[in-house]
Amino acid sequence: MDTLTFDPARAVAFDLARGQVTLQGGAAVLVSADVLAEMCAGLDESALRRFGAALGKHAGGRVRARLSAGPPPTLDVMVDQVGGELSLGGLGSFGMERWGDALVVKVDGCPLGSASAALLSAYVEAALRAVSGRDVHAPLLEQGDRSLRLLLCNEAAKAKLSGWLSAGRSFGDALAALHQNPRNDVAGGGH
Amino acid sequence: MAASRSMLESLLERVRQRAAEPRVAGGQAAASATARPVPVAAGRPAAISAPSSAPAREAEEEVEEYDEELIEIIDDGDVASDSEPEPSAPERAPLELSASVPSVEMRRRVVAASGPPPTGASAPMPPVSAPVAELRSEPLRAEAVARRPVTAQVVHTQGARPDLARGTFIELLDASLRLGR
Repeated sequence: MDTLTFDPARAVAFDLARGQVTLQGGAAVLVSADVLAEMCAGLDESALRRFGAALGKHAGGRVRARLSAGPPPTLDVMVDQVGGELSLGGLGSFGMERWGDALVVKVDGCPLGSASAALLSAYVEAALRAVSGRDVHAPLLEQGDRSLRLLLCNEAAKAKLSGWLSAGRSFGDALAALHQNPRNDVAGGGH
Repeated sequence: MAASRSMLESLLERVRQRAAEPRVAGGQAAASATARPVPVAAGRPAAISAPSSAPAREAEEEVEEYDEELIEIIDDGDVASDSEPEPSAPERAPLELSASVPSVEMRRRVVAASGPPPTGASAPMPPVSAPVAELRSEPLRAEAVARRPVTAQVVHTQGARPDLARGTFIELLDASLRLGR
């Protein structure tokens, strides 16, 4: 079996006699996306992030287990693996973009509404930390009607990004500022 | 027609003969007619309140008796004249036909007016599928690729980038994590 390619076969099993659902061997519960979105909307951001981090940690652990025996994964393999986990959970379609040196995660079709940003940010952080062992932060870069972008960065860049976006800069300008101003001297850099 | 005139003349002669004869029963009938109750009709008071004199009424009845025969003779003449073609009869058929033609033409004009305005008198009508194809092409043109130049701006500020095909995910992630330090 090719361990680098995500294989969803038999990833979800239904035991109707016992009333059990298993997701890749672990017990799971199927809930309506509308119900989950309503519940998430009632949580504060801290609780929402904890919920997303727990989901991402389990997903990242499974990815790491599958890739541990193979060569270092490429970007395509990582998108396939993490994206497969996210899709199995029904949380959307996962993709990655490169903006210069910046890696940007793009998720389309998350059904959780306003809770999507915080939950997915925590999910991606926890999953990639579990896979790479790096201190990855995934702040919100841009959010549309049914899609959002998260920047994979360090903690200092996350704080700068938050300040630039709060000041009304576009996320493209913020990414350019991260590249042209290694010391985050944005005003001196002409951005 | 000659036979009809001779019959008419003989009838007139008989009328004159009978008018010269004395009549008794006719006056009684006229008296009973005046004593008979007459229904009141508001719209015709003159017919009720002005009965004619007895001799005049007798003359009217006598004339009425022979009028039927005269009418029969006249009807015979009418039947004979009806068999001849009338000059105005052929004009009716074209009128009826012409009345239906404009309704068809008006429908055609309505169909032509619902399409795009013609460029000339002999300009052909555009195919029905042409406007549909134009409408479908509108959303395709509306697909925005406007964010791509922002990507190019970021790329041009950098020198050599790690090759996606050769680099591992960890290398790319580390490069991204170095930004902003």
